[in-house]
Amino acid sequence: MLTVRTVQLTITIANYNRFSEYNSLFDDSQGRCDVADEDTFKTELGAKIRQIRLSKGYSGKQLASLSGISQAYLSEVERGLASISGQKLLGIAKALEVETEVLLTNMQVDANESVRVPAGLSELAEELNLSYSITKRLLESEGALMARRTSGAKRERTKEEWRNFYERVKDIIDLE
Amino acid sequence: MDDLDLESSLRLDAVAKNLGLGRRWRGKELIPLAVKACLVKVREAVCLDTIISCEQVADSIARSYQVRFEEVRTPEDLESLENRYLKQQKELAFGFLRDELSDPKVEALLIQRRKANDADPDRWVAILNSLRTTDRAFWNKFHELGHRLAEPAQLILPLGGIRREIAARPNTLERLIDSIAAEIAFMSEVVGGPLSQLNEPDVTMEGIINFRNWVAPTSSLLASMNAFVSRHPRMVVAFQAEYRTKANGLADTADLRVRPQGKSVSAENARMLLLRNMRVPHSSCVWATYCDGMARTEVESMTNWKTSDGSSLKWNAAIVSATKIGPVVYGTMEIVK
Repeated sequence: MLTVRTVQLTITIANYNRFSEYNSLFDDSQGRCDVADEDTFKTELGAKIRQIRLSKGYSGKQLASLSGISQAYLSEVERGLASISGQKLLGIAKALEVETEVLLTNMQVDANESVRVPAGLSELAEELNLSYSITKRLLESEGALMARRTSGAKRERTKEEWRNFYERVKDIIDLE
Repeated sequence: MDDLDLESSLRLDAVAKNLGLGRRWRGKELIPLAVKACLVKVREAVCLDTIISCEQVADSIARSYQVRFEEVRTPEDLESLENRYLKQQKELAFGFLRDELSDPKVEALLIQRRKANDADPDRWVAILNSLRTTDRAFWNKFHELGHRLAEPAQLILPLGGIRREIAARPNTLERLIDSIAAEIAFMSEVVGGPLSQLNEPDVTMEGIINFRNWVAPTSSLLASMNAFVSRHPRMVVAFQAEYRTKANGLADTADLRVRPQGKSVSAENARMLLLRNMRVPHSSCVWATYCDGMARTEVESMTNWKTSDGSSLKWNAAIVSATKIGPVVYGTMEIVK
């Protein structure tokens, strides 16, 4: 392990080059970019933050609050429009419960660590002693619902709704 | 810049990229360009020469973009859908249908099939909830098609996330999609002829109903009325009127009140505006139509139409037309020179 003091982050040697590249994007005094592919890097970093945020079910407002930054700034970071200091990156990584290196590299996030199970489903899974893979399968199925046009407010499914759903699909899941 | 939340920002960026309007969404000035780009896509995908109704346009776009519409009117329709997609195709998302459609506020769902082949005509299934009313089915079809045209196809969604949720206050993205829907629902190639024939001599609700029956018989009167008025060459505004209180809910404010709807470009340019919640004067034919349900068209003096501060509308006389469906009066006003 190698500690890079300037931004107070701990990263592995394997990712050091990537991280050095990130640091080299800025000069010491103004934090301005002088590297040609800054845009690409910022876009990738922003996309990774967004990917993990969504996989954990956080809204932009929630993550910004947990990270101690403004929602507008987080929005810009996620869209690759703003640079980010190491300290703030660390705050985001902590809020997302991932290592900072995950944000700085192209490694895939371990799905087992990034799934946020809604309360209703979580309660049902506990009650019925459902395995992790079945719980995840139920949750994945909800992802195929691309849009719901409603005049009402958005809300999470209740435990009973998840139970109804499970009852309807359990034979299919068992066959799989 | 628009007041956007993060999700809207990202998705609007994707729309801009998908429609070739740049890497990022630069604000609402892009809306007309996005609408135009979607119209181009429709004209590339659909042969409009042979199409005579807006419903045919919807079917053709849906075919090109692999969307199948399923309208659920009865419990049997619901069971049939579950049998086809859940039991036979093993598409688990259809296990949510029963609970979703039992919510009267849910108007439509769009499901991207996980086990579909690339060439399947129903890679996306749009389910229209008509268990209680079919009023919104026409509009919801075009709204979902608007999403398919504007947004890139995305298979992988975040766990636990519904990408598109339209709540009581539609955001910029949904307003954009509605703008797209309004144009693709009433393509000029389809409605141009009927419009020019029905434009003369006066704008009336009867003419608008004829227009609807001609080009879009399954559309709501509201959708047809707005489409007709917004494409009209003269100065015309449309409205609904309902008996209700003001927002403060005080009983003594109950009256027949106006909800402005679409207007023509020339009315917009002339700043010909009806104010929300304006009272309908009892001397107006709109009031008479509300009382006895009979459709009417009359030339009226507008001096009795007053705002809450007592000022009158900017124009002196108009041809006012009104018809009533249920508790709601639908009407138009055209300035008389």
